[in-house]
Amino acid sequence: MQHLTNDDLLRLHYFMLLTRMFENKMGQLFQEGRIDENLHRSLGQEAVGVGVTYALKEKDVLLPSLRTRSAYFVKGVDLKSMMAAVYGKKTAPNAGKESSHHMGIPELGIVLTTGLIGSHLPLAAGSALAAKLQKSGQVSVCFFGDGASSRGDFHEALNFSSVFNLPVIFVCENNRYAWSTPLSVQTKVEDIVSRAQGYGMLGLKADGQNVLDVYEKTIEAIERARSGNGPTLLECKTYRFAGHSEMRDWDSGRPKDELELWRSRDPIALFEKILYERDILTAGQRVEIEGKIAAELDAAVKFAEQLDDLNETDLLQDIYSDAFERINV
Amino acid sequence: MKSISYVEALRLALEEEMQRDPKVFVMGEDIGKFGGCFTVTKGLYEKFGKDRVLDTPLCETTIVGAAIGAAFMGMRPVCEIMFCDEIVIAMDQIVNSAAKARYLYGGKNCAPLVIRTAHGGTGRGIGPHHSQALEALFTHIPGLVVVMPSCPADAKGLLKSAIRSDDPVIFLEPKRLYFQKGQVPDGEYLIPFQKADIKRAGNDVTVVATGFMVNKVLQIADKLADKQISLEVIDPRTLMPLDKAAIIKSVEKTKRLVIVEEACKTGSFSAEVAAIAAEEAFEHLIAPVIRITGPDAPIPASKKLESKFFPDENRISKALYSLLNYE
Repeated sequence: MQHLTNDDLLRLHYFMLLTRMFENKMGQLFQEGRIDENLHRSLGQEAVGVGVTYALKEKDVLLPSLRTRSAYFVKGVDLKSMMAAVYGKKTAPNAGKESSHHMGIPELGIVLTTGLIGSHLPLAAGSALAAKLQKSGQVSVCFFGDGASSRGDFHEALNFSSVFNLPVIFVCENNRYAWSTPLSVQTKVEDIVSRAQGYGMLGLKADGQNVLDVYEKTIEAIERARSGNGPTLLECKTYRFAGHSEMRDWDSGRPKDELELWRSRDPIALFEKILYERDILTAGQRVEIEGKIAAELDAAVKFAEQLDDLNETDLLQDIYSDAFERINV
Repeated sequence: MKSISYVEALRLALEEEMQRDPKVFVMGEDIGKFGGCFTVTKGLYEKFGKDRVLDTPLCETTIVGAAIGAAFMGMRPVCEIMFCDEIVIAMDQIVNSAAKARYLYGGKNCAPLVIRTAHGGTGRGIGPHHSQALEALFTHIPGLVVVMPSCPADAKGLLKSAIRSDDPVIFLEPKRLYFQKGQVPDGEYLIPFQKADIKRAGNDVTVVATGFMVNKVLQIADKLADKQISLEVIDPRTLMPLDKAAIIKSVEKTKRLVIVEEACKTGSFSAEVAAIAAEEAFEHLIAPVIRITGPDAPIPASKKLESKFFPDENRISKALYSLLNYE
């Protein structure tokens, strides 16, 4: 395992806390009717996005899923840009035209994915294929949920990546629910990772509530991919604390004791316990960090709210390259 | 000029572009040593090797999806989907990822890929899953470029433009043209998108035809010329975005419009052309617009019945006479 300094550990903690607080803020803004975006929050799953993405090099490629806001932060999206994206503003990284959940940011190595669950797995095979053909040494990391693992795209993309020995890691954030549908209705197997064998690729399983375990397993997969030994399916066992989205919740459909059990395994609290025990973080410092993030969030909201909205002319911008006259207008 | 087949023209375009730009690569099913179902990529594997000519598993969705992902990273993929009918399998990637990419990236990135596919009927009874003309599925999607060349010279020039285009291109190759020969200019040339070609100038009727139907209509135009009937035959070549101006200008001259295509009728490309005429050239028309298309039916496997599906000389001529006699 690559050595993590105390500073690294504090960064991991910071990104998880930042994501948690950001998404709680989003919930509040949504309740107040100040943002339109239909929230799909990752509360409870922060360790997966942080642990995986922290293991990447700057040049590596990220393909986000619905619940990987933390990965965006680790990959370099600043708080103000992210808030502008949630507000759907013109100058935001998503140009107000894509949801902030799966926006693409080329300069940060973040590939545009899609609102259709699982349809981006073939894109990850493609970005990894490009890296292989260009000999760029880049590794692609593709997040998706347990729901996506039932799609045909999952099968095709994993098989294709294995056949071509591509430098890609497929990260399944198994939070046990595809909206309202529990894992038992989605699949007969307990571990999605068991499918790796069928594709002739390495399968790894991580405790998705333990950021260090996620990080460690990712490092193993990355080293393998970077040295030309092909793709890995990495399954991170996790749980979402909130509903699928804010539009229609499904908490009532989940067993109370299950929810309680997972809440007791909050990835941030679990990690803080380690940091306190090792004297890397004190309770006082934590309060300070929290206060700092809260202030930054307020500033980001202020910043985003004064940005220009899109106007009617933006509707027809960026459909074709400049080579074409506008048509049918 | 030299006389080569449509397939050879496509191969030449691929070869020239692969030589010019190391970012160009081709992938698809059986396109390597085997040379592709219709031999378009024959010899490219030997020339460019396995990293530029990729034989894939049977996975249309991921052939297209991976091409999009590679295009996002700066590559110029050209994928071959063996039959137009199979493109439907990859429709999600085309419609939801490729076509919208530039828009959703806010103009900061694009999906410069080409999807080549064998289009339409063969007249040999290869059945309902290998014969369809599905261009209207693509012309409906903003962000896609849809190209259908009707001769070897256009095939070469348009494929080269497609590979250099920063927009995703659906490149439809009518099967019945693959082994027909035609004059192709020597050396390098490109044919721009959104530029129709007047295949034959005339005064009495404007006939907009696509793909294989262009050939059919040109043959009929030859025969009608002997009877002092002069057809103006327009091949849009790019179906989306369409060169509307060329069609409207011709209708202003001839005052009559016929559209010939081999696809099913309802919601087809010809419907769009007819709508353009109704909306933008109504005052010039002296007769109703006529569409000659396939019926709203699947294409039967029976060769005998298949021959009734596609517009033939008899149907096209009859429609032309009825239009000329319209009062």
